[in-house]
Amino acid sequence: MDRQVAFWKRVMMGREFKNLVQEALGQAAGGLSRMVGQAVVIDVPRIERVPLRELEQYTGALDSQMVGIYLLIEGDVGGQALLLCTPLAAMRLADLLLLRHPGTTQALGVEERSALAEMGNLTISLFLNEVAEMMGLMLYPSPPAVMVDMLGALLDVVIFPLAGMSHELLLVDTRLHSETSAVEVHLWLLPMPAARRSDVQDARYG
Amino acid sequence: MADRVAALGERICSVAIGELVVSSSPEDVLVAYGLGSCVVVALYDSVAHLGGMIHALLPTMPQNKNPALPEMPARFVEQGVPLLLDRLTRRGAARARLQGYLCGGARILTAPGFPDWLAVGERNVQAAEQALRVAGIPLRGQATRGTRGRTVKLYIADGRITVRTLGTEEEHLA
Repeated sequence: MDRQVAFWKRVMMGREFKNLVQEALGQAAGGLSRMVGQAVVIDVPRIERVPLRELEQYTGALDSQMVGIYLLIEGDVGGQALLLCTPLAAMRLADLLLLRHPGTTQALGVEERSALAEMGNLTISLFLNEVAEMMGLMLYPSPPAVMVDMLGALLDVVIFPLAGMSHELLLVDTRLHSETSAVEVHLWLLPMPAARRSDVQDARYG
Repeated sequence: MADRVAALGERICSVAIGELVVSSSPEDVLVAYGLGSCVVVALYDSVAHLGGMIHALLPTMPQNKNPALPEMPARFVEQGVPLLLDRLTRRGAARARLQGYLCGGARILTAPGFPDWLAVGERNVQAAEQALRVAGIPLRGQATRGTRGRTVKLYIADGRITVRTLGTEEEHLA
């Protein structure tokens, strides 16, 4: 079995790692709370195995518009992180990040996307820092990319590195949400197969 | 979601990633939702009123494919197109009458700092064009590349193909 995928399977299925992920996500939520100035709550993460043919039943309509913030996880273990939310949630999040009155943001322009990217960067960095410290690994995120498109198009980005490796998506799924505003963001963490990971490294450092 | 509601007498047949669907039922509408870098290859015989499509994720099967997995040719353009052609001709399509259409292959991840191999859409389109050339199928229309996701429909009754991107009306490709 692919070493990277085997690592992810081992850590995802082990109860001790589930606690570790939850603790690390708690750190990320804490950092995000400080960034937006209000409490951001994170649900208990779920480990999901989603067959590709059942993807739409899991995610909802693949032709609906969504906002995705995508980062590669690099270092000792390769992976992918995707934060997903509706455009409305992204605009309310932009209000919080840019210290605007709720409902001010009506479109996702350069400034709003930059704020969302920074939010993604902070969330994933805090998560990875915590995991790295607890497990003695070196982990760091790529720069974030903000994408606004049909959900299916966003998911192509995370699915295609796994093509040929699996019929299903193995992922950590959790939900970050504010108790005082209409902000709800799903966070997915996915393995990056070793073969693809070497592609990343070759491209980055070759 | 409004376009998810089938018109009277139509039956929506979703074609998911890695799937191949062939139909000769006039009420069938084959639909691939939210294509990003994936590519749809659709073939249609206008005399037999028979058509099909694949929803492929990669240009070709990777050499390091997990051997424990069963074959999944429709996930790959190079392997999926000949299989689609075979399924159609077995069902009665005439190879000389088949018309080819391509959709998808966008570059959704446009931010700087990501490796080029993540931009698989262009390679998917090139592989599909090549596969149709090799098969001798004329390419009658395409909505490919760019940076936007697409939903594509093939109406088996008459061979119409429509494409929609976010915030736009459906456009007829054929």
